[in-house]
Amino acid sequence: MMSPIEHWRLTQNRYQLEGVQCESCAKVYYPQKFLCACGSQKFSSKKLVGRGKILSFTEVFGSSRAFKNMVPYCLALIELEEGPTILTQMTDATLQELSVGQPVRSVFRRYCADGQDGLIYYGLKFVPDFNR
Amino acid sequence: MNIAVIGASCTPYGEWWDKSLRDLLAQAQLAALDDAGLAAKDIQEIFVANMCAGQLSGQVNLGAMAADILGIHIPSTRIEGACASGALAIRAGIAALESGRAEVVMVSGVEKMTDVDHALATESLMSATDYETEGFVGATFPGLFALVTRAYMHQFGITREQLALVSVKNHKHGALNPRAHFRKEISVTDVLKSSMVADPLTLLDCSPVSDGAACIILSTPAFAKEIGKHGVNIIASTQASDTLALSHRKEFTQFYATQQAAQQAFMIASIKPSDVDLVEVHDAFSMAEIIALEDLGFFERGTAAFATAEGKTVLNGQLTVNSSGGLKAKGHPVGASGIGQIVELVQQLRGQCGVRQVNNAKIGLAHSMGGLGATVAVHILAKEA
Repeated sequence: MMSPIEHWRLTQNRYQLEGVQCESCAKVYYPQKFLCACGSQKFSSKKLVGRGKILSFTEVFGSSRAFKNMVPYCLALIELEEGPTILTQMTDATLQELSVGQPVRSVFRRYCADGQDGLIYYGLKFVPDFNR
Repeated sequence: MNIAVIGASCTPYGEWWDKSLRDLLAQAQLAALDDAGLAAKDIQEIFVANMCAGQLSGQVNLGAMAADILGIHIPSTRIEGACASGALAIRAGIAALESGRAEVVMVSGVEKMTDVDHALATESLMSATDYETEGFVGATFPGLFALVTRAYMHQFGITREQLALVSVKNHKHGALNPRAHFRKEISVTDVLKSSMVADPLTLLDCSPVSDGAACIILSTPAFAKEIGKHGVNIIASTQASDTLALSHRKEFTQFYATQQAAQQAFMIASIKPSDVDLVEVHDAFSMAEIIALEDLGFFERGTAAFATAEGKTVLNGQLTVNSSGGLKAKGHPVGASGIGQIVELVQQLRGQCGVRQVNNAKIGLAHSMGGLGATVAVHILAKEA
């Protein structure tokens, strides 16, 4: 279930990997966090560069209404350079081109749409970074 | 702790197109009352577990439905904790008894999942993930467990064949259970050749979408003795949580919540894992059974798949795992599953399981997981000496 209002509220997170950094212990979180593991509630905004490596990956063959026309698609758990781990879709690569430990970088892509005349939901996906 | 289980029943699990949410719930609740030898008016409070009815049947307020079925006006509350809803409802029932406000309570669970197409059922189950982040990118439940599976295979070097043996074993048990969704044995080749759901997990690595309901009646030990229904007791009930999103963890191949709940449960029951005769674990996916057996303390990390391949977890092996057929073969009507596990343990401890009876069963453990290891509950049951 996708909502245009929810998407508008989360565009900072979804369009540009904007996380937060704890002002007390410097730990970086993505997406935002309310209470740090160190106990602090003071965070500053932190833009993440969108590079990391694959921890695990899969290819999904059955999905929800929003994604059922997109299958199969690849998902990956990524460890970002700044520390946080995220779950994302991979694109521009087949399952056979993915491996654990592979460097990846973020790209801006279409996720799904509310039918023919509804909102198109964009966000970040990741691609193999063959230059690293 | 000591809470008596005086009644237990579950419907057959399966695709019941001719039965509604209410039909299934009524069937389980009335059969459990019958098993306990009680009348509806004897029940003092109800806790009913359900996850998806709001999304799949357009029906919430199941507390009132559960009481309405019995025609009584007592407190009745719906409990939700994704796939662990049933186990959490049991904990709510235990709390009501331990507080002293009730002597006998009903704990029921129901899920009606086959009225809608598969994409909507998938979507409803996806709401047990962190929907804003993981749901948005299209993370299905099999997809998340596939990520865990690949990480585990990479870390511990198990083979796809070893993993398939979990489903083979659970189908072997399910074939012996008249209430199982699937009563057919399968081979490793069947698992490997079934359609890919989320690489490397195939269809036969995954529990099915099932309809079904389960119900138990709990009471104080004194009430159970009074009506002559004592014999099986819950001796530990614990619960723990982890991050809602899989990606916010440091570890993907072990679940902290299971480890916490298990350690506390063994401490409360004053037993060790080797004292347990049978266990019902939350095998929503073949990989989930392997990880659960390690997190619960039955096998060392990285060894449960090897133990499974050696036949240690088969009926009347070293440790009987999922004698019911598990979620894989018995079926997974989400809200009912955690309670259905207890129904299996009770019937095993009473010695009522016929061809799938665990020899000399005295202690059983149930492990239920909601979301991807985000909510976990453990119960230990013992037969009275």
